[in-house]
Amino acid sequence: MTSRDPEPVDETDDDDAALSWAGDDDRGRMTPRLRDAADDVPAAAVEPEPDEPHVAPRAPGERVLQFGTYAFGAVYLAISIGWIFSVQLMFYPGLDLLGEIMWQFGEFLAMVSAALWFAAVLTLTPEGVARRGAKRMVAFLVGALVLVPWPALGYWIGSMQ
Amino acid sequence: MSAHDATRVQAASVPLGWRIGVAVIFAALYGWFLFSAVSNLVALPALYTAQGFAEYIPWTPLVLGVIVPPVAYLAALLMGRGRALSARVVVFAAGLAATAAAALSLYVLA
Repeated sequence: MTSRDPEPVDETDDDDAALSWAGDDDRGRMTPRLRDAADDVPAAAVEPEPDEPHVAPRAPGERVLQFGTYAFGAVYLAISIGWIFSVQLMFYPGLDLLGEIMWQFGEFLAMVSAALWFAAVLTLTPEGVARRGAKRMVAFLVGALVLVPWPALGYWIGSMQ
Repeated sequence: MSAHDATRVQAASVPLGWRIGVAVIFAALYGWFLFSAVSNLVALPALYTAQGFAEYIPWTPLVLGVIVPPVAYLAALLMGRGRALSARVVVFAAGLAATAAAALSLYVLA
């Protein structure tokens, strides 16, 4: 063998070199992660930091108010559907254009009346108002009575008899 | 600061012109329903009487139709006092929509 002959290549070492980068061996060794007692504790059992804001549990009265709001929301949805049916049963009794336009506007308002009343009640009883729950429930009740869709109700009652 | 207090702070910054403008626009819209109800109150009894049905005049719906628009407007005006402009508009609109719904109901019940 002359000095110019290439040295025998160790293919195993070359494959390992091709699949690794310089410094791979040092990765993770610079700051070794030491196992401590916290690793054995489940995540849920770790107590929150003491400086985190404490969230107060919802009071029973608040839950009742929330349930009442949802219940009246369902009632008001039914009222809206009733008015949508109602306006299809009615027609303007006159012949003038302005009266016809305002009649159509009134029908539109009647269809959105339940949603507007609901929004107004929520607007008038924000958090911080005294006796908020009672005021909100009374306002919902008054609205439900005022906005009863009598045209559709009368039609359905009449058709059942 | 609660949401209620925030609303009060916003209300204090509403310019007087905007407050008056909203009140006037809604007064005109409520006024249409009042005008319509007064027209019915004036014309229908005479029509019923002329047709010989004077005893069937629906006085209750006719009178209620005249009472509802101004009462709803005043209620919305009072409840909107001291609140933000958006809250005033929502309350006025709810009152107007309730007036329209009541007018249609009274028309059917009459």
